[in-house]
Amino acid sequence: MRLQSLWSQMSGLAPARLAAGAQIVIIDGQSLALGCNASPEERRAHSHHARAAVRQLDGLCRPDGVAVRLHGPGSLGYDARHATGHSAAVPLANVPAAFSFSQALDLWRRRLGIARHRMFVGCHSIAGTSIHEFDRDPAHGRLGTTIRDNHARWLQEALRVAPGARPLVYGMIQGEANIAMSAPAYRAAAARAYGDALDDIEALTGIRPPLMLWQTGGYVNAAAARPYGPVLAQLDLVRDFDAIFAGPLYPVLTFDNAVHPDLPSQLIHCEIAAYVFARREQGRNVNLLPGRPVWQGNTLRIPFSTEDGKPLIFDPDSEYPAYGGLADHGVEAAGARVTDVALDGNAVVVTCDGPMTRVQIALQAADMSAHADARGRNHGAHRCDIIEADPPDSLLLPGRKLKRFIPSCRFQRP
Amino acid sequence: MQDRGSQPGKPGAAAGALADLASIHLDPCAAPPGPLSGLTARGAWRAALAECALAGGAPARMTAEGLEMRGNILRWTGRRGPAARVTLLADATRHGVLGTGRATLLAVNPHLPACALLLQYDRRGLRVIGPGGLQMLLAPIGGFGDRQTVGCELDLAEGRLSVVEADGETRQSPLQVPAFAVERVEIGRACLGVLHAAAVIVE
Repeated sequence: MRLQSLWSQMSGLAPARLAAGAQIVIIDGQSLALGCNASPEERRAHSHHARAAVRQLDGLCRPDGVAVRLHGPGSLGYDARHATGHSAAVPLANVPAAFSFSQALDLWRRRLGIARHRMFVGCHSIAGTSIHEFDRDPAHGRLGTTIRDNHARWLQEALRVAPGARPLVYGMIQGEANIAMSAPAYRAAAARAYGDALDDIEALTGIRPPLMLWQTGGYVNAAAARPYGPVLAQLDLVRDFDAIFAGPLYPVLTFDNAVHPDLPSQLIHCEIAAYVFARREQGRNVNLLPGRPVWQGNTLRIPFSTEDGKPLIFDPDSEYPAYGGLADHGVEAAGARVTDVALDGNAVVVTCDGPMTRVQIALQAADMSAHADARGRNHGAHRCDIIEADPPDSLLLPGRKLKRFIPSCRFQRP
Repeated sequence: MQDRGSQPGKPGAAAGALADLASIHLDPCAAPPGPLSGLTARGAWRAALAECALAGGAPARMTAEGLEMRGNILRWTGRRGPAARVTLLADATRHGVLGTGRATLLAVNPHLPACALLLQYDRRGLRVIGPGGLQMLLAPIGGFGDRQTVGCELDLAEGRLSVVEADGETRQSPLQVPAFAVERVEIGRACLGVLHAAAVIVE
């Protein structure tokens, strides 16, 4: 290319090259995985995220003849046409999380000196779908095996276009449709769904990629008594599958005063996932998860697995004051009143005025919808301002930080 | 990022290779270390540019063609075109920004937003601004104190804006713009650092 040639002449350098061997990135789920339905202006403003390493399949169509691009065919599925090739991934409507994740991963690989590869992006998400739609049992859910069929078909086409491509990760952003489920029920259903997806990938490629999970956030209106089982189950599922933990979604700013992140928030949560994934590629597990809590009288000490032992801090630039505020840093207790929330290194120390029976973080049951800003944006009801110290600078959104918030969690006194 | 250490500017090498393509061509501008704008203001750049070629002409012709110092900015005023392709390349070590706004390494027609092409940076990183305000950020590779070569190319015939990042990776974005003439080129507005070499190529 002429511009690259001129660049080489001036710099005296050879352009960076992608390593051999294509990879496959699949992130499924509901609307949050389909991604922000960005306006043309927003997509244009964020055009700099387009990276040559991130690819989409060309030529696939739905039965109604509509070309299937990054965000998949949805419930309609594919027609018989095969993929004709691939091109640089460009979102035309929704900006899929798989796309944002892959863009960020390419940048973080470059920043950390990790080999960069061409990545094929797949997304088989359908808005509002239950976790039951993602397993292989046709009796589960209203869509039968549509999602599994789409997934398998896309994978076959990816392998036709790029023989030998290796699955890199299978991700899932799902749970908002299942907040009425209990944690055990969701854990069982999700384990079945993830297992079926990983089986499909392994059957076609011989490789079982790692799982990557996001933790479901709260709706802006979470006042109704719902167990939010997915939120707690996802922490167990991360451990069950030795998954990459992308982090909680409760910190996002919703654009619709409901549950859907605006585009900058999506880019940040996907970049955090990419950062955690890139660290895993370096052989370091930096999942930020709660450890074993220590109960002592009226005090509970909850350690978190921070990166390199970084301390926890209260977010000095919290957005919550502008959106209805936050009590006790998001910590709540049952059986007693919270009198103090302190941070001690990587631990949250909760003190109550009596022997509390339960402590939970970022799991408030509240309706915050009256606190939206003039543009209709708001934070969900699940809130907490405790983050890992020294957050990295965002590569996708210069000027922003990749604040890693501690996940929503709940602890019952033994 | 590939390391070229403290390799000095390469006057001559790039100029020779690029000269064949250049109609307006400022290369090299090997300025001594120090604030870029300060250097231009003190005239060190003016001296360095005595070796520059403008349309293959002699230094004396540069003045006649409209090359001048305007405060801290090196400005060329004239008319080239209508252009089919405009290419900007800068090999620079950025030390910072004057003030809190944006610094402009290279700009074509900055006074005409509908046909402006700018290679800019601020504290957050480098970007290319195309006609009509299309913005393409460059990947954040390195930062202040790192020597980098970056650039962009506006292909009016093909309808696309391309950028080349500090590691040589290129990206494109579609951009339909009617042909226009280059009337002004500015170098170094609000920049702090060293511009080792620059090229503005209008074809």
